[in-house]
This record gives sequence, C-alpha cells and structure tokens, in this order.
Amino acid sequence: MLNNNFRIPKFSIGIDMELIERFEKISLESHSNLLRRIFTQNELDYCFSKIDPAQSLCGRFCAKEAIIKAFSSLDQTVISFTDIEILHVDKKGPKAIIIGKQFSTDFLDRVEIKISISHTAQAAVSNALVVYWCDM
Amino acid sequence: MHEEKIKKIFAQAFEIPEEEVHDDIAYNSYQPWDSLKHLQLVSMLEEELGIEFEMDDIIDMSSYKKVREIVLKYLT
Repeated sequence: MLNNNFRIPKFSIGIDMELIERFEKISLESHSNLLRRIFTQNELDYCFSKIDPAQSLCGRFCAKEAIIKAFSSLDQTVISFTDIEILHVDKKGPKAIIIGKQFSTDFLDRVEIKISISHTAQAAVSNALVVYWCDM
Repeated sequence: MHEEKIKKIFAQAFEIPEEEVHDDIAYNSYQPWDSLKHLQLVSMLEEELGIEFEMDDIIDMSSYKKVREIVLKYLT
C-alpha cells in the first residue's frame, strides 16, 4: 500500500445470489466447456474435491459475478470470470485475486478486492468490495 | 440451415419450444436469461457448432437477434 500514498480510492460494490440446484447437474465430464469459461483449474480442483461441489461452485460463481458487477460500475476495465480466482483461506475466509495476464502491474497495484460468501441449503450469496486507487 | 440450428440450441438452453424463440427475447427483459444462463448458452453454441467466441461478442449477445447475427458471423 506504500504506492498508494498519493492516490485517492474509488469504491464500488457488487452482489450476486444463485440457487445451488443450478450447479447440481453440472459435471466435469459433460460441462467441461462451461466450467472452464467460469472457473480456473485451481478452483475446479478445489470444488470437485468437496463432497458437495455444487455449493462450492455456486459460491464462487456468486463471488466472481459480484466482483464483475463492482468492476463494471467502476468503469476502469472489463473483467471476465476466468480473470478472477477465488482462493480458499481457512478461518480468514475466501480471498479473490486477479490472474488475467492482460492486466498491467500498475493496474493490479491499484486494485484491492474484498469478498464475502454465504450459503443456505438452497442458495449462495456473495458481495464484493473493489477499491481502485486513482492518482490525485 | 444454420439459423434453424441456432434456434434449436437457443430453445434447448432455455428449455422452451422452438416456436417461442423470437428476435425480441432480450437479456434485459427475459427473466430466465441471467448471467449463468448466458454462459450456458454460449457453451452450448460453441460445443454444438464447433466455434469459439471472442469475449466482445459474448458481451454483445444481448438478444436472440444479436445471438443469431454473431453466430452466423462465425459460421460464414
């Protein structure tokens, strides 16, 4: 954050909610193209290691959609699902990073993302806060 | 022939009869067409027609009419 001493933050939020049942019929074998349009290999490895992959897939989808919505209203760049990776961090909760190779170091240095994901038996929801540090 | 196939895939994606597919069905006004359904539609079109869309085209698919126009661009 040292580089942001002479910058001012622009804040944006996004939210998304989906029914988990929409992911229950999705499998690696029959929906490979769809899954790879949304998730990274690390995310797929993590989700399909779980007893209930649908819940993990749904939560991650919501988080990515919330981040995309937040970026959309910031109007700084267009970001897609596979430009974002949701990392699972025990106790501290999930963390989002930008992995798209097209983004410059300067851009990545200016962006901070915070997410929260929650589930019920039927649905997942996520909100995202994106901070973009502009030059003063 | 391509147009019939596009309509069939669209109907399958939204689980509606082909007769209900028309040009005015739009992302902003047709409730079942949300972001997940959009990606499912894109994946089905790519798999069944053997094409791969550019990201800008995926974003531009805002109605059935636009979907058809964009897909035909890849097929002709």
